[in-house]
Amino acid sequence: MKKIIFITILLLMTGCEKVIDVELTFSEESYVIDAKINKHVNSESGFSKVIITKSRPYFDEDIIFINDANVKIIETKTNKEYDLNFVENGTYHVNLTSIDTVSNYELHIEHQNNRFFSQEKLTRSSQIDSVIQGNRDSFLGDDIEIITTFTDLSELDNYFLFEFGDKGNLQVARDLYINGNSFTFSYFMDKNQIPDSKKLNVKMEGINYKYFKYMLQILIQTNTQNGPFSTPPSSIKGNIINIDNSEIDVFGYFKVCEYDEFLIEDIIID
Amino acid sequence: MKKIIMVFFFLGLFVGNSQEEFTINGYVLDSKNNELIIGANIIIKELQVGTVSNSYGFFSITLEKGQYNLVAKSLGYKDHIENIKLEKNMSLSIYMNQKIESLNEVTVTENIEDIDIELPVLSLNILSGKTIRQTPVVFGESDILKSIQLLPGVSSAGEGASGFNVRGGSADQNLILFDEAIIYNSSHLFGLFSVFNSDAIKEVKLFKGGIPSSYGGRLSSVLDVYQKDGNNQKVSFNGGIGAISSRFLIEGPIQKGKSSFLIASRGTYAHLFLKLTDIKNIAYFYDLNTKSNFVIDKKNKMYLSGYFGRDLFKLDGTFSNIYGNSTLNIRWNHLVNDKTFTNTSLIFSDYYYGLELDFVGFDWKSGIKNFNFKFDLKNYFSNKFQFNYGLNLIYYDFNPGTISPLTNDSGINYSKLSKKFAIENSIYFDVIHKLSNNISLRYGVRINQFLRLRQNGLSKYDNNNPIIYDEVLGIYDPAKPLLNNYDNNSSVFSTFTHIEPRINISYNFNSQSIKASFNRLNQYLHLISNTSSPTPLDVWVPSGPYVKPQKLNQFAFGYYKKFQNIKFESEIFYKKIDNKLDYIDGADLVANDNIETVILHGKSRAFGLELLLRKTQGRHKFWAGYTLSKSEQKTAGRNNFENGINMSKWYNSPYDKTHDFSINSEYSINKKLKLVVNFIFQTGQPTNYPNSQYDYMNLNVPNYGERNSQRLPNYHRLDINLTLNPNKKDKKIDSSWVFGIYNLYDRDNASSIIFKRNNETLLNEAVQISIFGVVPSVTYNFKF
Repeated sequence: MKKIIFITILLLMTGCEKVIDVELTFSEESYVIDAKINKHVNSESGFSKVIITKSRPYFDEDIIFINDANVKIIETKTNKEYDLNFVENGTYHVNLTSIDTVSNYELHIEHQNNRFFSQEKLTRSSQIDSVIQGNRDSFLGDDIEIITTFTDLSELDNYFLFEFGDKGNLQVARDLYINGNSFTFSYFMDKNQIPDSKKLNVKMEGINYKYFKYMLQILIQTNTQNGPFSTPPSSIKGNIINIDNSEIDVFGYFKVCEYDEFLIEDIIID
Repeated sequence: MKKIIMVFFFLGLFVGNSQEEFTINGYVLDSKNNELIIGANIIIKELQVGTVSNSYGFFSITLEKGQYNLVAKSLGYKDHIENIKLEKNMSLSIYMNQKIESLNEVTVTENIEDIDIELPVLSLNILSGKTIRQTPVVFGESDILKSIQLLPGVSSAGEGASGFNVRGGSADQNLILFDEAIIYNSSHLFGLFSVFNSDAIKEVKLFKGGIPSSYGGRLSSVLDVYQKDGNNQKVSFNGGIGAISSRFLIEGPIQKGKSSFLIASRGTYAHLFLKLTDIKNIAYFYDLNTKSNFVIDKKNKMYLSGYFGRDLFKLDGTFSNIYGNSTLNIRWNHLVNDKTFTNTSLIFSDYYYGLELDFVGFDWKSGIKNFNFKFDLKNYFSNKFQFNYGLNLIYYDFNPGTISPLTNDSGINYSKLSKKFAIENSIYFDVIHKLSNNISLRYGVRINQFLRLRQNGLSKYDNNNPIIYDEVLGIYDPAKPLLNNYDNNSSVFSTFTHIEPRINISYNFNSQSIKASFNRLNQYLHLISNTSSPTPLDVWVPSGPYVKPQKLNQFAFGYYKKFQNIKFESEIFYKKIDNKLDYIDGADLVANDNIETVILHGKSRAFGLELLLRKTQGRHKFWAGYTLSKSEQKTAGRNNFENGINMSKWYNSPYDKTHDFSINSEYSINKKLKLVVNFIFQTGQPTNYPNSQYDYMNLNVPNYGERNSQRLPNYHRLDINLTLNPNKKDKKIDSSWVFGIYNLYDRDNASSIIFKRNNETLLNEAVQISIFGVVPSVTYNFKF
């Protein structure tokens, strides 16, 4: 809501923007681990995908991929191990024939003299009922309205992450005020980020509170206007630890989620 | 404590009754419209003793029998001299004449306000409505909050930021009183305007320290704003038409000489800043001030004053937003006897916030209300001894938020955050005591009792600990509330009792003085805001089982000197605040019923040097202020295992500005033309720059290090105002044109620097946002 207020104030003011040169100091290289196990709501099986990179100076363009790590997943009830295979550009992948809904999953990564560890459990999701295109104006005008309807799970304290396409259009939701209901909301997406195919995949993941809080910080920090109404930015900590060297930070998150997907076609861009 | 009070009573009585003496009392008034004059000096020439008229224009002075010349002096008025034969108690109305420009002379009215350097008062600035009205500001709209920011020790989080910061304190630490009513949000349009219509303002007092014991409840400052009473002689109008807003004021007698009314209104034009063709969208504000007063008899006066203001924003089909303050105050001034003046007030104030979001089907309402009873007694025992005491009872009703579905098919469930209630009781005594010709004291004590009353659904936590520290990841997490609620049987959840000593001392010699002050204050209401500047949505929460009161100790020392027309004021201050609220990373503050799960108690401290030079007379007048200061805060872990916030290190508060220089200069070119120039320079505001970046879920995430460790570029600008008074033969309409240019040399002052990825080039860049470039304005003011 603060963001809305801030956009309003930007609208109101005869603001002027210019790109400036700022000298930044680089802290140090840290590991960045984007790790997940995904299970479709209507399926037993799923997959695990891990992307390992390193942090870099703010104005550097090229991503540093880590292509020589050992990555494995352990399901703790049966102690079953799954090794992830390197695919490309820091990405490791494995298919999982069945995903246990109550068991813990451990993530183990080894790279050079660092061992990383995290542990999570599956978070359930519900289903997307529909996704349609709307015709409302956004605050800034150049956006497409995507209207998503989903039905919340019956018990309280469910959290969801929505991903619109693959350009980092993300939205989190919680059921504090919508518990058990069918709920409709709008997401305003930059026109230019709609794929040429005019098709958009909308993905909904069931997430836990800690990850909800983490994503909220990520979203605030990536969209932040850094003005008088912004919250102090920080170094956002996830749930992965460096066992060997706590001095070297590790960013990113390990999540185990159920998900649902919906493909919206023939998006009209005027 | 009782003993001390008794001692003072005896001392007072003793001083008061030591000789055969008589009392002169009465009111100081403007001869033209009977407006009461606050802060007029009443001086007995022969004895070189005097007093000052109080906030209600009342004075009382006790002298030995004899014949005296009484001189009344006040800013903007001719000195008034009256010969008095004192052989019994007498009451006196002193009518003062406004200084009027004579034909061959350039106006020399004093309009910069002095603090009499002999008074034991520190860290106080007073501005009259007139000074505020002629200070240049953006869009040509005069504004209290913009004027006080030119004073040393006062700043804001930048253009387009609401509220103000005094001596490194946060915006919620300012007690803002409008005719005694508490104002919870002082800004319209996110800080572009203040809620005060300067046409209706008589006087503004800003205490930055040395706060007398009659005030309490906020740590950093008291901004005490007085409305005009209204002309009880004849009906008059004044107003102004500006580029973005208009004002209109009417005042006049209800019954001539006995009662009067004042109504002032102000509004911006709808569609402010929005495309004119875009009729569906609106953004504007309006406010209404009213006041009336009734002289019942020589000993009794009644006042009624009110304020109502609202901001409205609406983007068609997307959202609409309304918020604002309303206040009402009924006051009764009563003279018990020649030496004893009392004021009794019943005050109501209310802040409302409403937001409708169409695209999620969501309706939100929140607010805070309070009922306030206030009784003050001023006893003028003698010229050497004035004793004030009083009490103040405030009942607060907090509505942190009600959420309801906007339409039938909205997926929102009705939900109400628990309402909170509290009572703040205070008693105080305040003594103004002249020990000798050189030494004056003002001392007092305020005793507060804050009761957090029973409410539904206050959560309980394991080990009474609402925040859990995750040692492995080094982060704070909100604890899950237990199923059963906080002890529901007692009617009071928490009680806080505090004794606050306040002392000011002044030593005068050869037109100069040295002053020192100490004050302690406690604050029981906190604005939950994790941003550098408050937003209208932020909610106030009371102290209670999990939220501790904030405590302040402040020391200040000052040196003041008068040379001819120029006054020099210098002060150093040191303040220390305990239990300053800080928020865990990722704190979810909006609509959070368990706010205790995201806050930690920290510390803050500030120290600085303030210099002020004023020339208040002559063709050329100015004031120049410089502040050198440091303001920082720290929130350490609650035990050795916790990292705290910012690794438990001190960090710059968002309003830390090392250097702050401003000058306001006024030059009368001739009888018709007056030029006012402002120049401001401030060290850039603390901010954060990223120290690295990474990619997560196709998002480019900037990573930040320690809090507020960098700064925005320095802020500076120059503004001018030219006022033209066409010399009309027929004097029925007194009009003037004000031509202003804000930010004359078009400095791109950074209000923020955004680090973001350019969607087209896909490269990261730093983008500086500036709000106002050069802004010209024209305003037409009239009076008849």
